[in-house]
Amino acid sequence: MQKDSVFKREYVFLDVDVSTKEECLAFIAKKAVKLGISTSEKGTIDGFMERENEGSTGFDDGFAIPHTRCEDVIRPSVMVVKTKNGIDWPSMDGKPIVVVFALLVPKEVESTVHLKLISSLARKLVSADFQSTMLNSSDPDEIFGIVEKALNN
Amino acid sequence: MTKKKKLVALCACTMGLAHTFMAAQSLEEAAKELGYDVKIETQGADGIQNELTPQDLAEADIIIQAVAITPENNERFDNYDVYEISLQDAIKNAKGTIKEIEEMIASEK
Repeated sequence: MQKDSVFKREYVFLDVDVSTKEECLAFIAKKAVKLGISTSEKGTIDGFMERENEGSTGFDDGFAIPHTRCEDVIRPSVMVVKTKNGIDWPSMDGKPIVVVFALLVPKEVESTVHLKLISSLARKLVSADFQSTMLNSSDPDEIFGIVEKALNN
Repeated sequence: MTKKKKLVALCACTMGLAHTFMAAQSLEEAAKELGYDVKIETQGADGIQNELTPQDLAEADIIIQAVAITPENNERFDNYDVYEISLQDAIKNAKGTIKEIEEMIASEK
């Protein structure tokens, strides 16, 4: 695994026991700081919430993609959280959110290489096959594998 | 042999990380399924990709914008009928939205 990879096995979190959007974003921010992706929990949460306040990033079938470009983020990264129970998080179809893809990008990026990886993943998110594997799998290695593949598609 | 219909679209969301590309992918798949040649420009955090040329616009039977911001080089579209749809419709109901546009065009003829 490359050192500067946007996605790593330890960025996958399953069975996360959070019940609200705020709790979930706080969990992600805490892990992001621990993993060296961001320098500030609060800054990361505020970054996510700024985007959420423009319009919820929840979409169909239990998926949400909170994202931020903020100065506290130091490494472009994708984190994946599967919640233990669905979260009440405004979505396009009103369903609770189960799978959360968090996209963290620094305010200033030197190259678009990482952004291109993230855009490949975003494209994959609308695929029914990809969605059902993500929803049905409880195997972290499988989830890591399909997300890794989607990023490098 | 009849020439394939062509659909072109431009997608751009506020941050250019996620919805731009989800909308582009959904529109591309739906348009292909409905038998179109398709080209989708994205204006995202990685800049302008797959840029629509004057020729693309001239050849297009349907021109769509799914944008939450005013796109770059928007004057390209000045002399064309552009169907503006929400990013949400593009992501969630691309096929239905294209069909609605087809009906609108048919009823204008």
